[in-house]
Amino acid sequence: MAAAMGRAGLTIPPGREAGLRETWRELQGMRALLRNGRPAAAEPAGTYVLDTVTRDPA
Amino acid sequence: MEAPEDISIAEAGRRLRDGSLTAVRLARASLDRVAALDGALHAFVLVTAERAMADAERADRELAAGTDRGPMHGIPYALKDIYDTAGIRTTCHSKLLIDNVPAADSVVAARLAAAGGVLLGKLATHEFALGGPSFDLPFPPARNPWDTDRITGGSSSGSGAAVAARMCRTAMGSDTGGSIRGPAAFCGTVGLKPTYGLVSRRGVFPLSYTLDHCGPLSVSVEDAAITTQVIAGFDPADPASADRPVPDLLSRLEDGVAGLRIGLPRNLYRDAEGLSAETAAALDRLAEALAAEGAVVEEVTLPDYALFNACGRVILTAEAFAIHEADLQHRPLDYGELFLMRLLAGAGLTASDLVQAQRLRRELSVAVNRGALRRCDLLLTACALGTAPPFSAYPADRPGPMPVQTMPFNVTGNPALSMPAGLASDGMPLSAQLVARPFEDALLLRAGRTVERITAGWGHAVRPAMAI
Repeated sequence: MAAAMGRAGLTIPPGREAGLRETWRELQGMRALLRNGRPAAAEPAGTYVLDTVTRDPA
Repeated sequence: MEAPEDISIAEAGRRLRDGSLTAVRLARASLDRVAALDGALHAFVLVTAERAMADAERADRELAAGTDRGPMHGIPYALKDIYDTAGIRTTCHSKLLIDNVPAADSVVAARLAAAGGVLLGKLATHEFALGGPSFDLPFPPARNPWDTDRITGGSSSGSGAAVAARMCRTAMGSDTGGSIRGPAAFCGTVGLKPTYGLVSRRGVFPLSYTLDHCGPLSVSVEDAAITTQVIAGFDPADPASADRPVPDLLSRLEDGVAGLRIGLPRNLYRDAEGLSAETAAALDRLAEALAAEGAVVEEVTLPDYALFNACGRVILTAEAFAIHEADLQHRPLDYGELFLMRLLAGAGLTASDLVQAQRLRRELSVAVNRGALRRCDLLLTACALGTAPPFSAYPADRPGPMPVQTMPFNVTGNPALSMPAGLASDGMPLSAQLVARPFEDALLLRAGRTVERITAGWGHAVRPAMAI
């Protein structure tokens, strides 16, 4: 956590490490859920345009 | 005689036009309620009384002269304090913007002003619409009118409190992961997150570009429909705004649900931590009541809630981190503790995490819209998992639980509506959530109106303790 914070140019304010560590762990735990073995061609086209996001899959 | 706060927006409009009510009387009644109740509720961070009275006097003059700006003309409303208001302080409930006075209105504020609405003031929010409830910000957190020892939910916390306490019939919120629907659920109001792209977000401080939605919290479905009809519409300066006609949200409100197919995704909420038995029972009761109204209610399966939540949280954190990066680096101590720790955790996300989340987002959108909502017209699911928690459940130095299931429809952009669904044994409102296909907001409100009618006797129609 400290290394990632340093890379981002951030410092942990005094007294706030415990709370930050908890939210950090929670968010890190979600990263695995994003990865489901989808094929390379499964691209995130049209993230910003709902009509495209919801079009019929090919 | 009926109290002004009990008069719907539509009925107030009729009376304003037949001369039996004035906008000045409506505005004065709202300001009196704010003066009487807000010391305990903290819904407002700024009351614009002079502006309200000037708006109201102008509305009365215009209507008397035959100038009719439509259904919001002369109607009091309030704005979450992330909506820019020209010449009026807009703080995002944060020390960072405590002296911020925008030069221009947000599009929503401008539309409501052009429609002749009466601006009462700016409403409390969680800092920059995230985290909370917090006690280390420039203003105290809003409190729940049903029980002031309980939270309102967030982040449109003041909007929920103000509407539930009948300070106004409608107030603007914003919803990035549930910030309209959560407070609506905990405070017993209607809360509409319109389809992504239906309402311009220009001039509203962003939390997460691809998840942010603007919409109202209102006393009734009709009030919400009137408000949304006014604020919706294409804005070429909002990159996400949809260039398509605004649907007619009002004319078919009373058409009911007969013949509609409603999916019940029990797998989304059945095993959720924090789901109360009373919430589950209310959803079952509502499903039966909708079936009795002629809807075909059937169980459907959606992807696991954890996938929607992870996808939304990663995208939200990454986008919010990018927005606040410079201030996080240079003035972190000006943020409140809860917002800061939620955002600093974004430093641990990688570029790959964000791309994977976007790939998952497309898969989840397809599952909802080309799976469940291909067969069904609507979904009925949980909104809040229980009633509003007490403030004592939230430690000051780490985020506490926010037991709502709203994130899925920020991820997919579908319109979603939080509806009151009776009272729990603790005397607090229960809720349910309806979801429709993109841009079928009119159908969503029509179903919401049916829910409102069939649940009218379920207890939540009584006034909250602080609104009597």
